Amino acid sequence: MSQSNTVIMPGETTRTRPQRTSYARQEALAGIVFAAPWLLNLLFLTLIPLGASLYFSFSEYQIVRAPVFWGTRNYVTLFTNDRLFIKSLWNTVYMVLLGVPLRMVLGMGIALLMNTKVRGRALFRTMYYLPSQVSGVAFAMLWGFLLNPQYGVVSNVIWSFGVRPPLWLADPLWVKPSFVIMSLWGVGGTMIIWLAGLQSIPEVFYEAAEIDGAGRLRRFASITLPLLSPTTFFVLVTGIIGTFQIFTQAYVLTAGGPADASLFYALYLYQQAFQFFKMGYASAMAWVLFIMIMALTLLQLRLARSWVYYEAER
Amino acid sequence: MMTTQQAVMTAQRASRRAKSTPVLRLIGRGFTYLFLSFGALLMLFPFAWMISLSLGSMNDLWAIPPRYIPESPSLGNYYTALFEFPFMRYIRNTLVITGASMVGQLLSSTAGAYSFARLRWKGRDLVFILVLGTMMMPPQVTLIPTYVIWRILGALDTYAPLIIPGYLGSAFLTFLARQYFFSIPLELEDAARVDGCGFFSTYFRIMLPLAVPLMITLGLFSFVGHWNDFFGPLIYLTTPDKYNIQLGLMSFRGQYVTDVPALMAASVMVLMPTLVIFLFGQQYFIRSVVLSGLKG
Repeated sequence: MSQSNTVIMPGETTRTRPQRTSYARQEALAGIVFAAPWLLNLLFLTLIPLGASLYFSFSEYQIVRAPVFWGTRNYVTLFTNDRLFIKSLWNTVYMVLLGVPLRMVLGMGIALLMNTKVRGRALFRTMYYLPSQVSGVAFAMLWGFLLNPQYGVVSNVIWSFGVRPPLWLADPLWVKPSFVIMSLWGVGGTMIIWLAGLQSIPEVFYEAAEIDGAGRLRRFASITLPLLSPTTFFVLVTGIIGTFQIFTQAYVLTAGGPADASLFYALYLYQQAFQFFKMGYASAMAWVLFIMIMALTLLQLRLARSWVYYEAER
Repeated sequence: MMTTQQAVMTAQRASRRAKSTPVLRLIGRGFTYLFLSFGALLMLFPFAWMISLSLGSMNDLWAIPPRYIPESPSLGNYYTALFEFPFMRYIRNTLVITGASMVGQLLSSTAGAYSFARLRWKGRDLVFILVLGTMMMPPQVTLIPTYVIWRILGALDTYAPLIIPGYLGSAFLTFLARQYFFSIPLELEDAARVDGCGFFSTYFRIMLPLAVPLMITLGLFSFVGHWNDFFGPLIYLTTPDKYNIQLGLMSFRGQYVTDVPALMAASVMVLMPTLVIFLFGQQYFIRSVVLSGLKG
């Protein structure tokens, strides 16, 4: 944050040097006391559980008996002998491939329209952003009704065009697109971030380009897109990570069905851990997820260097 | 520097543009409003349908052609949800969990943020990076051992696993608080120090009183987070009497599977608090999202 830099700097110099030793010691002590909750958190809720979970992932552990180390068996089973695991992985990747780009294009499109000095922008922004704040069981139930094949509005509207609507959540082919449609209702969440990104682009760039004769498309391709790339990057990464956490909707509406077509990663992990109590196996799944997300983040950070434009690099 | 020739050319170009666009621009504007309004209607329709259904009956649902405004609206479904089902208890449980945890979240997150933003100690930046790292980590990696720890402590089916972690800081709230503290002028703390204020009184007497808008933001996030929490209670709570509002809604659904209007009424009640909070506290939410999304 630019604010932070300007604020911190004077502090660094005004703090008195002479009595440094005792004062610095006091400050360090206070610093640790204030951060103590976090130090405990990092130790007991993060580092120790991380280590334990890694150990469990190499063990047979069914919670009632102590974990027994058995090497890489959980991991080998996951990738060679568990059809449902591969299925859950594919289901989730499908959601990423279909849902993330759709939400990005739509979110950016709406933000672009809203950024054209529309009247009543605040009202529009509220209306688009509101649904993205709806979550939990009520969200799932509402969409279960909206997509109900018998009385749901979505099907009614499709019938009115004389077309036979699909069975949505009850059809193995349509269940994943149904979840994508639900997620589009929350597109306002990314729209708000795009909007902030758009507003941080200085107007002078556009004026300069216009004077140079750049048309609307050219201005979008040469100014808007490159300057938005950090936002794009952020939305992409959080979109992928978020998709791997889809749980409540699927748990409430389909429990993974029909024919395991909506058995998503987080749901299958939950089932292994808390319905079959295979804690070791579930831990291995958690670590596979962790490694995938870490690899993805690193890969994207590396790619980002070539296509993301950061202002500081100018 | 522009030569006169260039200046004339650009002026010509600009005037050509200005002449050709008014009609096109008007059409463009029209499409923009049309598209945005249509989208906004799509966004709001599910809410309207939910409220309308919650006031109606099964007859409205099965009517052909579909009836979107109930024939004889009544609050009967709300009565069913509130008084023929222990919804009040679930609301009370949720408020107990939220209240107890929120106090801890606000104190531990702002204290940590104060330390990370203002106090210098060895290893501070490493610790803060770890704090941020916990946000990127999928929660499942620590979930199972944490569950095992609570099980060993005999705390399954109590509120402890849902409340106590709040006292150990929340990464997102800490991050927001740290950003906020950077905006408070250092001179205030220096003045306080000259007047003999220690670090603790600086935190309690200078930082916290200046951080009222921050506390509101954190409080809103904390409330909405707890109100919507499904996974934590699902794992830790087994006795129905202890359910929070989300688990309560789940079991209501189990008992009233076919009574769609009653289920809608219950959903409306569960969604209403977060929607109202959002509408009134909108600026706090949006500012924080922007803060965390841009150039972190």
